Amino acid sequence: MDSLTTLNTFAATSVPYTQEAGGSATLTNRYQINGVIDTNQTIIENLEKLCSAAGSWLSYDISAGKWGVVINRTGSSVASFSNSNILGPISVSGSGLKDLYNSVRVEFPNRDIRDAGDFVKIDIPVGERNSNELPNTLNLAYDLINEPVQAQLLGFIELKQSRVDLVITFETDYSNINLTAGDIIDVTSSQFSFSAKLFRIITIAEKQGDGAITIEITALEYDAGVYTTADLSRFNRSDSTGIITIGSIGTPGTPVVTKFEVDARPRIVITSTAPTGIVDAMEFWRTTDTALSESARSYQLIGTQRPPGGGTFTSGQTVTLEFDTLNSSNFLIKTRGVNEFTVGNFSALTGLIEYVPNQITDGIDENTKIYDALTQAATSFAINLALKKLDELLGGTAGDLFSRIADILRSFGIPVPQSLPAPGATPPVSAPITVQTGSSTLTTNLGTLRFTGDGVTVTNPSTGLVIANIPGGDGGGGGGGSIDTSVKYPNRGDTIAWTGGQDGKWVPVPPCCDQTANLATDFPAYVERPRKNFLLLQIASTLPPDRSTFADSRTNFSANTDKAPITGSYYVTFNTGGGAGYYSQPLYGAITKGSGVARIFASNGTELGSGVDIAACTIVNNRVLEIPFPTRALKTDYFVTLPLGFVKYCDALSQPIVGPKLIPNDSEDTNTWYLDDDKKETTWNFNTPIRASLATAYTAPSGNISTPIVSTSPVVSSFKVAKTFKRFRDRSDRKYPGTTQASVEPVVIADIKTYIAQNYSAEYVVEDGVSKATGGPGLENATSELTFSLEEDSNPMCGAGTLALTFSTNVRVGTGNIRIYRLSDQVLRKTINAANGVVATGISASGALNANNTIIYEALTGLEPGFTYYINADAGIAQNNSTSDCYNSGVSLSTALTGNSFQFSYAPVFDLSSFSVKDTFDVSGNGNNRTDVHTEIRLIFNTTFKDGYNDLSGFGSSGTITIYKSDGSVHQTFNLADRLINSPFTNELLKIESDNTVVINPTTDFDFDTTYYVLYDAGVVISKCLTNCPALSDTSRVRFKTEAGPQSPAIALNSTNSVNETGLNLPFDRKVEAGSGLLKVIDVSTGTEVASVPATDPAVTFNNYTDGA
Amino acid sequence: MSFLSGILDIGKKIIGDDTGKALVKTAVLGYLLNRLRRNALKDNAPKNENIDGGVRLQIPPASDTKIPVIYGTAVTGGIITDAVMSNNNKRMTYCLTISERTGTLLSTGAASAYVFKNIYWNDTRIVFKADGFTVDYVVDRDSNQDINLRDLVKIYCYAGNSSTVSVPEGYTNASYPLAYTLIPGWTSTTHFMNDLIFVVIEVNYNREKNVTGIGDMRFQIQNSMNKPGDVIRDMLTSTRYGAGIDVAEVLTT
Repeated sequence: MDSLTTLNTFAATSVPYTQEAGGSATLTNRYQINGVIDTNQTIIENLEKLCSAAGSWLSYDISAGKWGVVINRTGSSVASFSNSNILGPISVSGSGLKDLYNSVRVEFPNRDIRDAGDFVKIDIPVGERNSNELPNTLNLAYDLINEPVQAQLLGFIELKQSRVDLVITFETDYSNINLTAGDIIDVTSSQFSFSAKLFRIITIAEKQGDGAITIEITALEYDAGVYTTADLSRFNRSDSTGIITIGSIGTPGTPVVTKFEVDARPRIVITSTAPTGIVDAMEFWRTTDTALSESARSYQLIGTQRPPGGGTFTSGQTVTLEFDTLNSSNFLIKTRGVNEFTVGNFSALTGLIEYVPNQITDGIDENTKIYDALTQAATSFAINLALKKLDELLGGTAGDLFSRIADILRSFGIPVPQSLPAPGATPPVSAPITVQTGSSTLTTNLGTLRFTGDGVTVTNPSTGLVIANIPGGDGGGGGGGSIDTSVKYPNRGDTIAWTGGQDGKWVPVPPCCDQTANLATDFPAYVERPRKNFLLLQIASTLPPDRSTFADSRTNFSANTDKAPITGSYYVTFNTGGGAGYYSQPLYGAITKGSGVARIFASNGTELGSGVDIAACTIVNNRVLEIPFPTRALKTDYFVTLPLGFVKYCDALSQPIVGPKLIPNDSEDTNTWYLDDDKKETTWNFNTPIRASLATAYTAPSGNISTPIVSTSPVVSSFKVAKTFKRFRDRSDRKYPGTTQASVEPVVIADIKTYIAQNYSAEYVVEDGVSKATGGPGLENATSELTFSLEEDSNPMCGAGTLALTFSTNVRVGTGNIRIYRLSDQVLRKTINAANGVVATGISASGALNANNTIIYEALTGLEPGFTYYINADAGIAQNNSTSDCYNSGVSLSTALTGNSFQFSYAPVFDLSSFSVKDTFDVSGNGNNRTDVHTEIRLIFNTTFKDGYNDLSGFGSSGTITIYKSDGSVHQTFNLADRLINSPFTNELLKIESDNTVVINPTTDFDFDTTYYVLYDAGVVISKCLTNCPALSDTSRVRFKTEAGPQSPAIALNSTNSVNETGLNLPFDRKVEAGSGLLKVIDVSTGTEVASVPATDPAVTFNNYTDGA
Repeated sequence: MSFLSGILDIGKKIIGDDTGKALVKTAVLGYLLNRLRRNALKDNAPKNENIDGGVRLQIPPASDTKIPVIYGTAVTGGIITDAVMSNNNKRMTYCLTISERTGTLLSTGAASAYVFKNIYWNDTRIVFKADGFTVDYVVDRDSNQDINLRDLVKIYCYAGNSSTVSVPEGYTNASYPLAYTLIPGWTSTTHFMNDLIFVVIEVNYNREKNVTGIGDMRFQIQNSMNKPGDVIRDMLTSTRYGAGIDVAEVLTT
C-alpha cells in the first residue's frame, strides 16, 4: 500500500504529449484534482472518485490499521508463488472476447471551456484487435479532473487494463501476511502455463482454515505496458456548439521585416502569419536588447493588428504592420496571437535588424519651395550640392561646370571673379582703411596711428585687433586717470551707505552681525550702521568710569578725580536693561567674545597703540570684559571706542562706544578721520593722574549672573525599552495609568521610519516629544505627562529591546553609566556607557519633528528572560541642549536616576507552566490526587498567548494535542487543523480560556482508576511574543489519574467452614478462583505453623456449584 | 395646404426664417407636434403605463445543508444561503455559498489558500472597477463588452469567514468591506460563515439596463489543495465533510 505522500510524489511526475498544432509539450503533473466534491454523495463514493482521478484506489491495511492508497503504476514482484506455497486450487477468471473493451470514452469537465462537459475517445485500431472482436466502448466519467491529457491518460490505462483482466484467486500460508494490496507478485503454475506471470494484489484476507490460518489473495493480471504514457496528445476539443476552443492559440510564423530606410517616410514593414486557433489580434513586439539573452531582454509592444473587417484571423493569413516612428537602432521582432481569454506562443525571432532611417523628400521640381530659417540659404546649399554632384557626374576637370556657369553669368554682365581665394588667405579689400573722428577722416595709413601714452601697441593678428598697455590701468603708470580699485560690488544682503564728506561715496555694507569685524575697521563709527534684527547688550559700567565733565589735561587737571591707572587692564561690565532695543532678560550665563578691536585715543586724537582685538581680551566673572590696553601716559586725557558686538550674549550684541566726535578728514582719504576740537571724547573718557602713585590698578569687578528661572538639569521623564516605538495620534489617545484606551494607532513618520530602519531592526520609533513643561519649573512633576504606557511596547518584553530615555528637554549625549539591575536580587546585570547613546528626534502630537529629547542606547542583550529589571543612571548622562534656552545650553547635566521605579520585564522562555484537571480530589489519602472521568484538562502557560485572552489566534496553525493512557495507547487526539479556528463556540474540543490557558475538552470519558498523560507538538500555541511553544514530550509533566470508580466489596469467608477427614472446606460469599499466597494451618496452642498449602496447589479444588466453596 | 405645412407656416410667422433661431423654432414645432400626438391618443393611453411592476423572483430554498468542496481549480456556482431586500425593494443583497474551506496541505503543512480567478454573470466574464467588487462591464465569449451592469451589481468575495476577504485576482483593495457589514441583519457576532468560501452579491434593480434578476453566477476558484494525496487525506480526516478518521489512522508517509 502506498502512502499519500508517495501518491503526491507520483502525481507530480510529468508526462509528455503531442500538441494538436504539432510539437511536443509536457503536462507538469500527471494527476491533479480540479473539481467540486458533491457532498450529497457518500463519503466513500467521493473518496473513490478522488482515488480513481489519481489512478489509484483506496485501501485499508489490516495489519497496520491505516488507510492508504494503491497506486496503479509499474512495479516489480515482491513475492513468488508456485505449487510450493499455494494452498489448494487456483481460481482464474477473465473477460471473454465479447466483453473486451476496444475503445474508451472519458467524460470530464474541460478547463478550456470553463469546465463545461467534454470527452476524449480512444480507440484501439482494428488491426490490433482480436479476430471477431466486436466494438465495445468503455464509458468512464471523471468529475474531479479538468485537464484533457489527464483524462486521456486515465482512459488509456483503464482501457489497457481492461484487456489484461485476468484475475486469479488462491490461498497461501500465513507467512505472507506482510503482503498488502497493490503489491506485485509472480505466479508459476504449469496448470495454467504461468511462468512467473505477474499479478497485482487487489485484496488480501485472512481465512480461518481447519486448524490453520491462511491468506487468500486475489490478484489482477499485471502488464507494464498498461502504464505507458506514449501516444498522448492534446486536442482542441469541441464544445457543444462545435466551435473550436478559444483557449489554444498556436505559434505564428517567423516575422519578416522589410526596411525602407531612405524614404520620405522611413519605416519598417513587418509581416507575419496568423497562428492556429481563435486569433482576435496579432501583437508585434520589439527589443533593442540584442546583446542580451532572450530571458534578459525587455520588449515593447509596438503595434497590434486586428482583422480589417472584424472577426478573427484565419490561420496562415498574412498580417502586416507598418511602423515609422523608429530611430536609428538595432533590434529584433517577434509576434504572437491573442484573443479575449489567452495569448499564444511568441513566434521565432527575426534576425538582427540594423535600421538607419534617412528621411528624404520625394522630389524637387521648378515649383518646389524650400523654406528655412536661414533666408533660404538651405536652398542655395542644396542647389550648390546638386551642381557639385552634376559636375562630378559629367567628369572632366573638377569645377568645369562652375566655370561654365560663371562664364554664362559674365556674359550677362554679372562680375564674377575669375578665382576664389584659398582657405586661410587674407580677404581682399577694395578700399584702404580709414580712421575717422566724427565725419572727418584722420588718416588712411595704418602706420600713422598713434595712441595717447607710451608703449601702446596695436596688433592685428588673425584672431582680432589687440590694443595693449593702455595707461591708467593696473599696470599702467601716470596720466590718464586711475582705476578706482576700492569699488566693490555689493553682495546679496548688503546695504548701501554713504561714507560722507566731499569725496564720500556709496559703499556696500555687509550684514552687521556676520561682519562686525569689518564694521569696526572699514566703516567709520559716525556713519549710522545698518541694523539687523538683534538686541543690544548694555554696557553697565566701566573701569575707569566715564568722567562726568570734560577736563582738558592741558588746562584743568585734577589730582583728586583723575586717577585712571596707567598700567594694567581696563574693564567693561555688561548687563541687561537699557530700554527699547536692548536685551532685557537677566543673564543666566556668561557673555561670549564677539569681534572687533577696542581702541584708546588721547584727547588730541592720537591713538595709543593700534587697538586691542577681542581675541586678546578676557571674559571674567561671566559678564566682565578685561581689555589689556597698552601702558598709558600720566596726566593724559583718554577716550575709548568699542565696536558693536565686541561681546555677545546669545543673539544680543554689545552696544558700541562711539559718538559724533569723529569727523572725516576731508583732505585725506576716507579711512582716516580727526576729532572735533570741541568734542574730542566718547562716552568713555577719563584722565590719568598727575603721578603714578595716585593710581591704583583695577581688579575685575564682580559679574555674577542671575539664577535661571528654568531648570537647567535635564531629568529623565520617561523611559522606554522596546523594539517597537509608537506614537499616539493625539493626546486624547494617550493611555494614562488606570484609564481605558480605545485604540492606539501607530503613525508612520517617514523620517523616523528611515532613521530606525537604518539603526534598528524593529519597525520605527517614536516618542511624543511634546513638552508642556517648557519654560517653567517643576519639570519633574511633568513626568506623568511624558511617560508612556509600557503596554504599548510589549511588557513584558519579548526579547532584547533597546533602551531609550526621554528627557524633559532637548538633550545632547553626556557621560557616565546607565546600570540595569535585576529587581529580585538587586544585582547589577548590565552597564551601558551613556556616551554611546544616540539622540533621537521626537515627534510632536501634530506629527512635526521637534524635540531631540530622547537618547537611544544600546540593545539590552544578555539579560535573562523571565525577570524584572530596573534602571539607574549617573548624573550627567545627558546635557541640556534646548534650542529655546541657549543660555543654559551645554552647561547643565542630568540628575542621577536612582531607586527602582523605572522597571521593565523580559518575558520568560515560552513553555508550559502547570496544568489542572477538574474536581481533583484525594481518594486514597496518600497524596495521590485523582480526578473526575469527565474532566477537562487545562494547560497553563507561563506567557500570555498571541493577542491575549479569548483570541483563538493564539493557537498554532497545525499540530496535535494527544491524551495517552499510561500504557502508551491513545485516548484521544486533537488536531488543530480540524478545529473550528476563529470560532467562539464554547463547546469546542480546544479553546483558550484565559490569556495563558488552553482547555482540552475530551469527548470520550476517561476510564476509572487509570493514569493518563498529555503530549503535544511544538507550536500548538503561540505566545504574545509570537514564539511557538516547544513540544511536550515528557510524559510526567501533564499526568493525572482518574478516580477509582465503584469498588466491589472484598471477598469474604462464610462462617460455615468445616473440616473433615478429606480436607478443609472454606465457603466464600461468591464464586472464586485460585488467587495467590499460602493457606497456613496454625497450632493455636503453640502458635506454630503446622502446614501450608499454596492456593494454586493441585490439592486445592474449587466446587463452584454453590455460591462458594 | 396640409395641416403640417400650416404648422410650419405658423412657426415661420412667429419666429421668422432666421437660421440663428433654428433651435427655438425646432422647440416650438416639437411642442406643437407633441400636443398633436397627445390629442390623437387622448383616450387610448393606459393611465399607469410608466409604472414598473417589477419582476417576481422565487428562489427555491436549499432543502439540505450540503455544501460542495472545491479542490484545485474549478468553475462552479453557489448556493443561496441568505437574501435580503432593501432600498424600497430595489436592491437585493444575497449570499452565495460556494465551498467548504479545506484543511491544511499534507505536502506543505500550509493552510488551503483560495483565489477568485474569474467571475461570470450569465456566461459573461465580469470585469470589476478598481475597487475589486463593483462591476464595470462584462465580456462575452465573442469579446463583446456590455456595460449594463456597471455600478448596478457588486460582488464581494470571502474565503474562510465573514472577516476574511478574498479580493479577486488582479485587484487590490485594502478597504475591501467585510461580509457582515453588507447584508442587513448580519453582524460580526452572529454571521461568522466560518470555514466557508462565499460571495455577497448586491443587485440593484434597473429595468432599463435589464438588471431585473440575480443572474446565473459562476466562479472560477482556485484552491491550493490539488495534489491527490493532500486531497484524499483531507477527505479522510475532515469532520465536516469527510470521514472524520483520526489522522493517525491514515498512512501519510
